[in-house]
Amino acid sequence: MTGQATMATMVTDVLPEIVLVAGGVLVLLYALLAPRRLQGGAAVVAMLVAVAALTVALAMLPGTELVTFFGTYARDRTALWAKIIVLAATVAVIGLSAPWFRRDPRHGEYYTLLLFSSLGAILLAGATDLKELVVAMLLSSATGFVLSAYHRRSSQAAEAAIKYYLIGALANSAMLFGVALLFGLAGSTTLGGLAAGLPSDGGLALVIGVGLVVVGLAFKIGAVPAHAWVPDVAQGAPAPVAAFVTTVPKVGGFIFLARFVIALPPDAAGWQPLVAVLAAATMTLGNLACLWQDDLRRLLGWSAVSQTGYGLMAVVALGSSDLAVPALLFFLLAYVLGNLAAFGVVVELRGRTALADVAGIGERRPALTAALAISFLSFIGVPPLNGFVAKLLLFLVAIQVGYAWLAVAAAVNTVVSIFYYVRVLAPAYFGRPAGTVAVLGRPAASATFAAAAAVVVTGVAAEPFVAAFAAAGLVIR
Amino acid sequence: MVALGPLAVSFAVFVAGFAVVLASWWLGGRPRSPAQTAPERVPFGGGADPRVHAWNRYHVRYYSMALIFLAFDMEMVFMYPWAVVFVREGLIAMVEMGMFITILLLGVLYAWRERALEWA
Amino acid sequence: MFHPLVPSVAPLLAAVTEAEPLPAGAADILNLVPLILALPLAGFVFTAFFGRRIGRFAFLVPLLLVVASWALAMVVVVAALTGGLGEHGAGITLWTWIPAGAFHVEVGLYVDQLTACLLIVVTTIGMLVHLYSVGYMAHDPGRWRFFAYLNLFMFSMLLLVLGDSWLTVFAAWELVGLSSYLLIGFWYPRRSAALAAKKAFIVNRVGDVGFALGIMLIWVSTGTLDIRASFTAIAGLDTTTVAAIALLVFCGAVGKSAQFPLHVWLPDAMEGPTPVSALIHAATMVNAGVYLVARANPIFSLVPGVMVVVAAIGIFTAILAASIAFTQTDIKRVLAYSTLSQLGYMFAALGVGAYAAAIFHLMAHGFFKGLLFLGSGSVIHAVHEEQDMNNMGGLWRKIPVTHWTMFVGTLAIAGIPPLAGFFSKDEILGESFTFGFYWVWAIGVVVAVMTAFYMWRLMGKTFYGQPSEHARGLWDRIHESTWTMTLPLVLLAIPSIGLGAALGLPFGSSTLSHWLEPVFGASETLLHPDREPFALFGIDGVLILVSVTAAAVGLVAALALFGAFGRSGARARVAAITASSGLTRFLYRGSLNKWWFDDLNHLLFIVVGGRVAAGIWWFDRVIVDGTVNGVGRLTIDAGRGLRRIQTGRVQNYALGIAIGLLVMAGSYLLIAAR
Repeated sequence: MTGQATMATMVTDVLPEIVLVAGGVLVLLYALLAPRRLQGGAAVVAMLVAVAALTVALAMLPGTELVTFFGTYARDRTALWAKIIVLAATVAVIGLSAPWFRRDPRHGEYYTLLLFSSLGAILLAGATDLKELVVAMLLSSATGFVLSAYHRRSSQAAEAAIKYYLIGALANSAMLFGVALLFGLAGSTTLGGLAAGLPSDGGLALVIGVGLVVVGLAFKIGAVPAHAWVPDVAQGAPAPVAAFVTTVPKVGGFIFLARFVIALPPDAAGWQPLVAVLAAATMTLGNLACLWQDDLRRLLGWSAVSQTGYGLMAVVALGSSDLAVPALLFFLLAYVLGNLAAFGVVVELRGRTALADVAGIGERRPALTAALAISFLSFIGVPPLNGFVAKLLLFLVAIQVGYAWLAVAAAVNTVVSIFYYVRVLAPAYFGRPAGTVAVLGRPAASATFAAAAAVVVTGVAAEPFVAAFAAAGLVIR
Repeated sequence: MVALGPLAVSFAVFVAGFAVVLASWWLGGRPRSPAQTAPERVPFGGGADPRVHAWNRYHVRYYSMALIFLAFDMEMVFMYPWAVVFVREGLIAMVEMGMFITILLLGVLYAWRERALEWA
Repeated sequence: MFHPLVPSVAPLLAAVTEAEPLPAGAADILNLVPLILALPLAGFVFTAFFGRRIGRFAFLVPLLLVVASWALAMVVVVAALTGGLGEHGAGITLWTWIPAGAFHVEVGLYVDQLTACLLIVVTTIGMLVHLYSVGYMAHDPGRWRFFAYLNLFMFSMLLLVLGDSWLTVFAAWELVGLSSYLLIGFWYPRRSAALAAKKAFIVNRVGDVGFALGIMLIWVSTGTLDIRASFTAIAGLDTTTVAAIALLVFCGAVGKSAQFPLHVWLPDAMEGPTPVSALIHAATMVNAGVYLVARANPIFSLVPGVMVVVAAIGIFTAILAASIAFTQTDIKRVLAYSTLSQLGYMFAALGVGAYAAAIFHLMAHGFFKGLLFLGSGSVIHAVHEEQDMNNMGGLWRKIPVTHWTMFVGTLAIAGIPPLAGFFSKDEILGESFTFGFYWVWAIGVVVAVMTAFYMWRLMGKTFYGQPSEHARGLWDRIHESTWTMTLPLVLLAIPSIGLGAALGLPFGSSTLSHWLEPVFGASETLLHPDREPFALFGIDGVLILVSVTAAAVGLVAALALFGAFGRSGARARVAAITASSGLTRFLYRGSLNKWWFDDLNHLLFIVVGGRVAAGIWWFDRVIVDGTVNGVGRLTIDAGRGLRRIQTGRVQNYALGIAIGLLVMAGSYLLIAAR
């Protein structure tokens, strides 16, 4: 498999990744050389890099689906769509960050971290190898820790980052053990090798190995039992970073989880009920914790947990339903856009986060409040927003594969969730405003409105997306 | 009983030694040292006068050193397997390692710029 | 294979969903249909975003777009009514919304003759109300918001009549409800306005739940949400299911069209600005229920029992509301009750199977009631935002244009030939009699007398007699409204006069019934297979005479009481009659207090509800606490308890992970062991 020609074609399979690496380095060079007052220019460079990578990924969509780099990396449309979602989200987060960090004298390298973190998520989405998984996880996590702590002097941010780091370290090392166990059982680390080599009656070792890897991935997507960092980071980290780490790594984690479960031996695998239970536990826990939150960011963090639970319904259906992959991808699209819009509003409101402070912003900032309402209504699943289409698809696939109870649990959770979303929206519209409502600036506002508009557009014009996602394959060998 | 012979001997030696120590402690009494002069009480500094108190706390930036060390250490770790396949893979391996080291060197530049290489 | 992000334009422009071949040029006409909708929507979006910045001239864009939308609609209407879109109309699929296996949701529009009739009413009156509002809202600082909402309403209402699937119609149904809510509560700092908006919203939800259930039942029993496909499928169902569907759909209609017993919200909705009352709560949105039942005529015609219910509720609302209108003194409330009463007529017509007559009355009523409301707004403006008719009087010289146009409207609604109301009302009464619903006819005739009476009472109290103290106080400052307000009045007076003769002649086979034949023909044949031909010199002529006489009786009685032009002393005469006997006193007080419906609701839901709640307190403690409250509390406590788990200590989090892993592995082994 060596030789120049093969290598060259393989390199074209990972063009967006290469663009990101080179671009990240470029941003770092810029940050090195630029004087303090020009550090903000790094945002522009990073934006250009992300857009370039996005363009490349879009251009790669028509290509054939295959596994490249000796079975370790997938170049299928699922991975490409994941890349597109991740990169679009990164572009939005850069827009949110630029005004937020404007006064930080040394923040050029922030964007390098951002780009490398999204690279980690992208690698996660494409990985078909457990070692690749480890590398991608570490890249995505390590950058996430640093990003969360970017406000060096904020004790809240430091606390959140340390918690994030400790839980991450635990989950990642658990995952390493799991990877080692699975390697030992299958004699290979590629997912193709696992599918072929894992004994269907692997016994305790298989169970523990799978469980440990799932714990690692649960950390990444913010699912039970490794979900605890999400609300802390959402509340403590800089708001644009919170927008980033609650969305982007999740995309990668979900896609790898999807690849991982279809590589498991189908007969011995109780993985379907396992994931179903995780889904139900995650959505319920997230929802219940949301009920009495008085902090908007923390509420968003918990709602991110509950949304993960809904998304896991698509994973349950993988392999048994044709709609599972489109449902998963559409869910990710809807969730990422909705969450970006919601956090964007928080950023644009200069981090205003106490529920009491949100009262009456509808009168002072109607457009911004509308963006918040759109994202919340989309989370609830109100037609014609994209959250409705996502939920509809998720419910459909869950019922299709015989998990009606899960769909019912999700429906009940959805009803419960109306309560806490309305608990924010009602005072925002009907409360009395106290004082002026300061906002951050144009880039943040544009990113927020773009995300909110995308929530509406991808909801109303859902058909081309669903159709495109339906044509996306999920290859592991 | 023959087997116990060496053991008994060694036990006897131990008891005797213990007794000698006890006796010297008993006989010697308390040591009576004269009062130290001021220069004698100063921590030994090779002749230089101390500028701060001996218990003064100061920051040793071990962590930044450790991080920089780790970066290069990992580089070395990667170079071992690389060295094994270098001959077989030839130019491609060379280019790959070149890219890797380039990025790493940029890291060093960054650390330099951030003054992470300056002690204290 | 590459999947474009935007839906390609080709299917959007030409996807015509009709088996029969379309006439040449139909596709071009159909392509205009989405634009009719898009223009007001664009106006709403534009004004919502930039209206505040534009300020004084924020009305310009919405107004122009609605005029353009009207022009396009007229092209489509002409095509549809002259057969340019085929005999049964034609549709256009905008896009497939969610393609999920067997579950397809498509968004499409459909234009047939019924839609065309509604388009005439909605776009014409909508346009004129926009124009009127330019003057009416000229001094309101929030008028950009007002125009944004108006455009949103236009979009929603047009979507409602154009939608080709139950889901689309339901979405539009909710959207008109939303825009109505926003517009009733437009002056939300005023407490009564906010309360009225809330009341309208909640009462409407009651009906909407029924409608939603009806749609679900349609989907479950037929497997389709397309309106036309569902008609074919429903014809094959058993009668019980069809009756259930019809009743549930009727529930929605009762809520939106404010029929008994959900009629209480409409009079309160008069808290909104008067143009809103004219457009939404008289001419268009409240007609949505009538449209819905007319649209669903293939369903209703299968179950005559349900139709009797429709007729009964309709005619009961008609007489109930008319009797309340007798004594109200708020000019807008009189008109609101009159609207209820006329809507009752329409439902009575639907119930007896005179679908075309119902639509005829819908159109005629839309124009003359729109006129009356806009006129009342002009009056209110003239006397400085005073709505009590006791504070008016003698205004006819001061505001002549308003007076004469309202005069026309009054004659039209009273049913004086040859104005519009005569033809439409007579058709309803005549067909009720011909189809054997003598009781509907009899009550209808009584209501006709009452209508003429209370409308002339309104005219008398407002325009004639001696000016009241209030009016005299600002006599010199009373002046006619600006041309943007009077022009719509004049323009609306024209159809109020001529529409009836234009559409209602010749008797028995009128133009309108010919237009609507493809929509209602099958149902009417099914219901009345052996219909006698119209006989002007037979029974039908007699019926016309009875209608005219009824109107004349009411008018003459009111003239005797309230007089015309300069005559005065009306109040003393009314007081004398009221005091004459116990019965009249009771009737007067009953009417004045709206037959105590609001008090009844208060009694039912608050007083009795409270007593019942107190009576079953122990039951509540034992049973309900154990179940419902228990579940609720469980949820809340679980939420609170979870906060305790989320301690913020990383050790606990790590322990959680470990426990989670153990549980996962344990449960997996349990499952695998089986």
